[in-house]
Amino acid sequence: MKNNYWYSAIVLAGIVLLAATYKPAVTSPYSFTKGTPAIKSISALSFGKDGILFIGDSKSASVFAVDTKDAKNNAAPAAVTIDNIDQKIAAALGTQKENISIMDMAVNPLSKKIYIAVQYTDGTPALLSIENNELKAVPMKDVAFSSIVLNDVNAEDAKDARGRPLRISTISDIEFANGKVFLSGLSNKEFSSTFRSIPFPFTTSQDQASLEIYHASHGRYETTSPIRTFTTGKIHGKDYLIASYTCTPLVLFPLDELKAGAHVKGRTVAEMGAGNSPIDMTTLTKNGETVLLMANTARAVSEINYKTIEAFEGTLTEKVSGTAGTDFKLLPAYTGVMQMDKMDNRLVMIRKKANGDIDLLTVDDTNL
Amino acid sequence: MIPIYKTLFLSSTRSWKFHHLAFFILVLFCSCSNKQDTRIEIIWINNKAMAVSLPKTLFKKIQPDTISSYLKICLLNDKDLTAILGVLQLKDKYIFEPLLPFSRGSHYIIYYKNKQTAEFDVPAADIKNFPEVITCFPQQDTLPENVLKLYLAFSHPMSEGQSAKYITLLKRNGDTLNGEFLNLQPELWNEDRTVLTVWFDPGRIKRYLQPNLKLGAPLKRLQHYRLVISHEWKDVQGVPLQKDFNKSFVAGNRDNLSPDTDHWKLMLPIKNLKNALIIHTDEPLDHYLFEESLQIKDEHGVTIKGNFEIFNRDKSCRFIPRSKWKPGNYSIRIESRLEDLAGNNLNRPFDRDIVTTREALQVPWHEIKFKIAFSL
Repeated sequence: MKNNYWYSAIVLAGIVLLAATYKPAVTSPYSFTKGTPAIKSISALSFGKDGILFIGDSKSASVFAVDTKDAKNNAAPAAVTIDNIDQKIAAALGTQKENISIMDMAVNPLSKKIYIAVQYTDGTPALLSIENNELKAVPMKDVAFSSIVLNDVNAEDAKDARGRPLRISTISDIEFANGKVFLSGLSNKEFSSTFRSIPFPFTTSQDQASLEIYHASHGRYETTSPIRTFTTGKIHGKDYLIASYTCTPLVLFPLDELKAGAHVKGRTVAEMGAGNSPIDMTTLTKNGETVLLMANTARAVSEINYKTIEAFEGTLTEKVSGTAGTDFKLLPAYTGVMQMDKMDNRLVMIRKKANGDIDLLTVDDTNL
Repeated sequence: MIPIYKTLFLSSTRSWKFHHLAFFILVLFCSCSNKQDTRIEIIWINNKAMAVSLPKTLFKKIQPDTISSYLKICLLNDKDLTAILGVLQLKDKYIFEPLLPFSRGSHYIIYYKNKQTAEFDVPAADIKNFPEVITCFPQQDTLPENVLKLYLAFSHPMSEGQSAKYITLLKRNGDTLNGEFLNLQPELWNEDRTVLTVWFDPGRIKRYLQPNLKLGAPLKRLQHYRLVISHEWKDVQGVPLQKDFNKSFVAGNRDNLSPDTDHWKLMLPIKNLKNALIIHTDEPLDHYLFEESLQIKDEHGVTIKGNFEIFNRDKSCRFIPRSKWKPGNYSIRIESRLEDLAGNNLNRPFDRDIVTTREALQVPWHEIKFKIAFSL
């Protein structure tokens, strides 16, 4: 009998101990698990809610959602200026600036902290943040995260003729909006346009649409082309994908039409000129009006007022010289912008100056 | 030590032998561990300097938990003494794992409380094995003036993000052309970083787009060009190419038409062709897409296993099945994404003139049927 009491006590203690130490694998409302995400590359960054960072990993053809635990609201973020940011990043990584590439930059909309994705010449990725003008490593071990592999939903079994899983070569841009992660991709083989929308928290669901645009002498030539950068915005109260292409047109697609297997023709609203490629886009309020700002490879940041996009009802229909379509203006003080995002209503940019120096700076809307 | 050991060994007395052997091992262990304790060692994984181990003797009389607050590793000549980001762990030694691997050929200084404590080198890569450009696709000497892309195939994984510095297009007179290629970041590498896709600026190729109107097409018909890949381009180990790679070509006629599989010719397998099915197209196709966009199906839609080999400068393909052919009906299924050199795929040309060209197709693949009437 005594033995039975002891036995029961031990079992009870075991249960209590187990209950105390048991932690479910799922650690958040986003179905995250704790661990070290196997990120092979960082091509694009975007923040969602609650300090969740979305990382587009081209090499593993995946999107990772990582809880940065950086979710404290900062209502009055300080301006940031770091001269020779490339040199400082390289020194913090123990190498020379020639050996690193800055892949993307994103600002956490809550903490207003700047995150920078860097790649070493051998392909190794690194994720840094800026705190009090200092570079810090973003912890990637034992973090809460989830991920989704990008499938080619058009393929019958998501494998190519040799049995290798299909993958897009490069994730060119990523953005979280309306509960979905939107993602554009470039293939290293076919010249095509793939655009995916993935509900978050991740499930097995992902939609891929093929997008077509009309281009110059518009209504005359039809083409596909990979999206270089995009954002989402409201035009006449409706959600649109605002995409800019490797071949410079600025094109609108209604977001609700971008569904699995859909073949959607976009409305070209502007051509951004010759010898130029778009890099990044963001939306700010300037003088009480909403403006689209676009960083470019070969010219200053372009500014387009949303009202003029709304007013431009048609698609480009006539052959025109120079740039065409919706009016835009250049902000000549901001050339050589390589990365751009917004911090509240302030623009954050990494830019290469005429003397070759690369700086990170913030610019208030009143100074744009 | 050695003479004593020798003497005792010769005495053949078991207890003495073992007693002194144990003493010898102890002394040897102490001398070895003393040596290890003073040594700073690079920890290599896959030929990358992933971490450095620091002996505890470097930080005598210092509380281990204060080390990480005051220790920093910096690059030589970094005037700002920027601490390299990474994680310090205490095991039997201190292991510092930087966020990125240490760079080949670099020298690092270890500081404790801003006082130089030690230093170490990461040796430069072994340069017995130079990387080289194996080939450039398309391999033709004449390319359509609206050729869309080039593939550069290297012998070794190459450094990323710097292709624009090392790829030059020259005119016949030696003048350098600028802006012909699209400067894409991130670059379009294959998984092991041995094949880079380089696009000519699509905005200049597409008819009547502003870049096309203002700057013209990247290539002009009947003009001669030379593509030069600089020998300064380094592989991931920091070893440069052994020599420049040159490819000369001339721009031919514009190609605005989709490849037409109706014009392809088949050579059905016969005994002296070792069971191969040969497909001849009427134009060179994208090398990598050609290889991966074909499948052979039997009459039940089951894929026939085998290997495809591209030859005849990307105009022909040979399929060798793993098993012998059986009599029956077969089909070649060609994915519509297969492109020619100008980016025209099976469904639609690169840019479609909607006034003069048929509506773009939306089919996932095209098919060519054939029949094998006898067993090989």
